[in-house]
Amino acid sequence: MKRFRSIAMSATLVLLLALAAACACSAFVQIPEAEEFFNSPPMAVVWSVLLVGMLMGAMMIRTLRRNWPTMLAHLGGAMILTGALLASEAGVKLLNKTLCKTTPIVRDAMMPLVPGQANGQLIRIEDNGSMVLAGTLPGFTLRCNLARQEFYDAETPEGTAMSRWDLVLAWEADTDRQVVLKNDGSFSPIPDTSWECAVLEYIDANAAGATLVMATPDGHLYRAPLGPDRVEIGAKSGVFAREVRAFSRFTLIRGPEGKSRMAEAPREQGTWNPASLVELTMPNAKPQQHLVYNPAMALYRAGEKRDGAIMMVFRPKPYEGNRLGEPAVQLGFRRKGDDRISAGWLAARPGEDNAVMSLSQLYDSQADYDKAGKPILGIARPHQMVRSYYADVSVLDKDGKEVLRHELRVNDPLRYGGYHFSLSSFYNGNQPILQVRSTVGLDVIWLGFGLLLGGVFGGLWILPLWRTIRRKGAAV
Amino acid sequence: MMLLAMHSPSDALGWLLFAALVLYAVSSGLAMVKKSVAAWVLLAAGGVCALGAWIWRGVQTGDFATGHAPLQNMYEVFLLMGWAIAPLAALFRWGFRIRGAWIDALLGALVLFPAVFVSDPDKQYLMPALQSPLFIPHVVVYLLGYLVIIRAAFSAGEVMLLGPQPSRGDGLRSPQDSMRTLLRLGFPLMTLGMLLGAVWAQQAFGDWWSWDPKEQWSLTTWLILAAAVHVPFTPWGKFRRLMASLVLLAVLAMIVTLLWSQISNALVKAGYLDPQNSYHTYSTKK
Repeated sequence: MKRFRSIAMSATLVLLLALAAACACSAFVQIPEAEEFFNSPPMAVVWSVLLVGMLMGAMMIRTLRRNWPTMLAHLGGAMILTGALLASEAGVKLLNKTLCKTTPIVRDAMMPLVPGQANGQLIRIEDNGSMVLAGTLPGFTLRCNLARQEFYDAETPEGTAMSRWDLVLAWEADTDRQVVLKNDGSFSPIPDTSWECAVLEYIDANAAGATLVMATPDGHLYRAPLGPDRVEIGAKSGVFAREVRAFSRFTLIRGPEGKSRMAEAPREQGTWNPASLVELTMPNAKPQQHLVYNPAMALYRAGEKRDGAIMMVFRPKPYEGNRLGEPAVQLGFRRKGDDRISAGWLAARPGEDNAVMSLSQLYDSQADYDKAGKPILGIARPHQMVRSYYADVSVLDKDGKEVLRHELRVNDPLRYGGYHFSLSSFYNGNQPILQVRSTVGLDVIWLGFGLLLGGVFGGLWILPLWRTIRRKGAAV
Repeated sequence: MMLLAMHSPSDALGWLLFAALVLYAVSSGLAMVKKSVAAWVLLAAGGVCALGAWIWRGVQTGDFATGHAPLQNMYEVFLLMGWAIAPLAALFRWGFRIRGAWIDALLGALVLFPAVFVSDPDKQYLMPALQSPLFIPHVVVYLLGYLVIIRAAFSAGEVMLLGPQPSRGDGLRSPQDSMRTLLRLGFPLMTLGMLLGAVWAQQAFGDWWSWDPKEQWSLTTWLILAAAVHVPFTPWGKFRRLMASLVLLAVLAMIVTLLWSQISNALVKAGYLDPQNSYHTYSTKK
């Protein structure tokens, strides 16, 4: 027995150190690889050996009165391992083949929620990025009643209003130099120049439709709402415009005869490239179609003649409901002592946190501009941090009756029907994404945690303290 | 040096912290040259200054007025550790009869160093997952565990260098005895810290273990410590240097755990490691 004991204890030491070495090594690979390694069949054998070892450790005690903490700690460790093995991929597979044949357990999945809708479908993202159905919730669904996210410093929960964006002057030649200009509508001087500038107007992310801005060759600047119906741009200008088609992911597709055709790229393939096909009718002329890319920046010096017309389309709220919108800002420039205002337009691409424009137009020559250090003007979304996500959800039974209502928060999950729903992120601003995990083995693990803690604190803190107190008592 | 710019040297909080830091450092030096009484007086004075700073902080932020403790971010946790080290030193010396108050004083100075010079005293924005009631217990328990284990490592170093020593007959423990006592004191704390983290991860991400590098390193530390705890029951229990080397190894793993984001960044830069997505990078970069 003594010999067996010493062999077992030696093996324990070797096993613990080998596991420690494996853990240390796993920190140098990617998380999924580490997870795969520790869930691989050879490691399952190692875990099982450890489990048996812990059970033996729990039994190798001499007296319960003195060694109860040893037993507790080892039983706790064994329970944690048992729970983890049950909850592992292989464990869940085994359960689904045997005990849970009728309602298979989905181990790990995601569930996007749309406010106002009930959902019982669990999805999984494959390695190639495609979404597949992982399973359905057993006999109940979740309805999202309300979802919101809170920001630390925002007054408006839905993204940041444009009026809170920063107006920043920077220099291409000196990347360390930056000046934040006032954006309250008043003019502030642009350093080292005779110009000053102001934010005249925001086209906010909450604006309804698209806006067309057009500079004609004779130096006129027009602006009008753009839609499917013809509207006159500017009073009595005789220039009419309408939007023929709007694109989110504009692309050109080669036809069979080598001719290109404008098209919308499929959602999975295309990158964001918002554009508008605009039909423009000039006085006494046939309508002509122009393709205008949406995000834009331009600066017109007052009274400046151009070779052709310039068009811009701002679409603050693109069609696919992106959170950030495509806000645009109208800037005004004027020389000190000159009342004429030159106009500038600047728009951020959807989802981007800034947009910049060159100020070269304000200089009389390129050489002057270079000499000034190539100033650029930008708008930048102020840094915003999410304070918390909230999703008010109801558990609905088969008949759609509410069984339970809970406000999910990060760190405040919902446990129901064998699943653990935790809220970790948002999609599109108001659509919560839930992490859904099976709770198989979880209670065993929690109990194991308790026993392990009871064991180590009992054996290493409480028992020695108790002995010391008794010894002192005996000495007195 | 940018690093050595004190944040608010003009206010009472900054000066109290600075005073505590200096008192601890001098106390450590005095203890090393065996000026025991003076060292303890300075250590106590440093503790009082650090406690004053912590209370000042609580009054300043209004935490006390609203019935909270100023333990809302890392800065405040460091302030707590800054004064807690003084009673802990007394506990080690008179409660556990363990030699080496100079280490406690030095650790006190080290803990206060980031609070005085580096850490941002502003109330920081916490990302949602960090706003958990388990955040502070997890960090405090781990920091206490770290302090005890580092303390054990000094005794372990002594055992490694000099071998097992007889007790000097002054009623204090021998190095090997100190090492074992400190290990037994620290191991439960390290266990609790890790399990609190696991419970928190389950709450926040729905998974109590996610094979994250920092988790793996903390498990490595724990496993080595668990091995060290088992050493006396193995046939090699009499070889004191075995437990000592394991304690030192565990401290090494602990330091890697603490500095993992810096280490992995350096490895990524040098091209030895692909960037990892760790839950434990609490970046609040602008």
